[in-house]
Amino acid sequence: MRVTICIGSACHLKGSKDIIQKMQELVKVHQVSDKVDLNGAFCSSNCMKEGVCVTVEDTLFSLKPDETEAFFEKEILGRL
Amino acid sequence: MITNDATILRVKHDVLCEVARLAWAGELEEKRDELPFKMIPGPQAQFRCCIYKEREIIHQRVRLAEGKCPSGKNSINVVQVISAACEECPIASYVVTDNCRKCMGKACQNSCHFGAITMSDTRAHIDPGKCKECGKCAQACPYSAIAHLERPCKKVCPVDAITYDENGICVIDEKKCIQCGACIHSCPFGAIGTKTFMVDVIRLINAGKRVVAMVAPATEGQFGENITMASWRTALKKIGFADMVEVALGGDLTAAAEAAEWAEAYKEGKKMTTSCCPAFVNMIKQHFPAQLENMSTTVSPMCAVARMLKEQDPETIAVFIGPCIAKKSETLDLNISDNADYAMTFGEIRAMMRAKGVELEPEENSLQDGSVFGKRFGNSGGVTAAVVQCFKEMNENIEPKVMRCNGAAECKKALLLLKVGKLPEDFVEGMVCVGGCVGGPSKHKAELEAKKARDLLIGQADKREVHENLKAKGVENLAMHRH
Repeated sequence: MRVTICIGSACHLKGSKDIIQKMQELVKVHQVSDKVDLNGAFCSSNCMKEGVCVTVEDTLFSLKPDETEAFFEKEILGRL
Repeated sequence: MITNDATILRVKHDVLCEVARLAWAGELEEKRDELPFKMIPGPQAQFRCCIYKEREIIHQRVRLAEGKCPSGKNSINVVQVISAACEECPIASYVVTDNCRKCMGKACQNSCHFGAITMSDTRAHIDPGKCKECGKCAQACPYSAIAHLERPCKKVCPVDAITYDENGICVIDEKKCIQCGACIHSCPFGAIGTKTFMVDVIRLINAGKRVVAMVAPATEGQFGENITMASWRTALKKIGFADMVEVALGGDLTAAAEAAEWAEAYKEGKKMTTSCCPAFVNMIKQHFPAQLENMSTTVSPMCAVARMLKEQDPETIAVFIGPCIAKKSETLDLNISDNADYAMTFGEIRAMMRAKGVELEPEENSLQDGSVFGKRFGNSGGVTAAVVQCFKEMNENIEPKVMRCNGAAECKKALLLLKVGKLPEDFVEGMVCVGGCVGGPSKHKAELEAKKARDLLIGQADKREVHENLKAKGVENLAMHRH
């Protein structure tokens, strides 16, 4: 499953780095590194959204760093 | 250097510079749409059919400079086609020229297995619908009258990733593309480029973040013998970077970790490939996935230095600067933790400098983070030399047989041999650019042109050993594996 997290400057300032670190940890904890492929993405011009742009397969989400764990369980583990 | 793209480089650089200027001033949002008009004032077109096409090309180049897809499509590739700039070069690859004498022998017609050749009033004619591009006719013609034309972009692509759409516009097959960037400078119309992180880096510097530059080992010598690593640090600090580190130190880190890994593999009789060239890694992942298990798990020198910087200060934003395009794709691989945040080319960083009126200026060669072995990492054979040096320092009595792959074709050959179990060597050093990183697509000077200055600058470095250097820098226990 392809997960992309925007690493553009706007998303960076909204905490994309924290989301990336948390997701890397969660992938390890749940031992799904062979199923989940984490990728960075250039800015997709959705900067006006409140959170960081994250896509799971082709669905775009807007995610805040403190919601990462719940998001991972629902949208990533939930789809595997 | 004689290149086919001096004019194109100027246009590309001017676009980057204009975008950088607006980004530094925080005016990009409101003024980006003015750039095509500013750069192509008209009324006469300079290079293309009309100013409207020229302006559209500038518009697409601006998008690319901002890290967006030029034509508005949503694609993940780092290397992108600037569709407005693509000249739709003829696809028919075998063409009969004026040399044809419409001779009696008609060796061309006789050699064609597909009935593609007929005789017109003046010369032979190849029906593109029937031609299978086997080349037999060109070989058979006694007058060398049949020319083989190939699109320059397609010709240089080592993984056959370039095709065309129904209008003849270049299309990159993203499943095949390894982001090596070879096609970019082959196009005589400058119709292929890469997304850049330039605007992101400028915005983060403007936002007061701690942004640290990491300069590639291939850099020394690229800008003449007077431009030293100290020159780079001074110039980068002037434009707002907090500091600069030589990635040659990462070369030392990678060599030491790889030496330990190779020694183990050697004793087990397992073959292994390097993992520091990102285009080579992409080649394995996309074209030889079964060989991933033979790939070293040591991180690249870029990643090693980024990890060191983040260990010192987790808030650091690490930006790699070098001649490489594929490094951008490495920063996008988030399965590797704590890698560099962004990668930039020499051209992009120099546009950022020029936009602020900063130049690289001569300075004493006083800055040295890496050993000579780390500094040579960017040359073909450099990784092997550094690993062999580490064996010596570790008192390992190993004389490994290494297949040094200088360029994409040799990399492909080695991986094919490895795949079928016929590789005689123990290790593969894979570098997709000919000459190593010093021959990278975004180099400033060709390998030979820069060699004298490079040898001189590296010759001035002290003779510290690899492990000695890691100890002195306090990084001998840094986590050096991918996962």
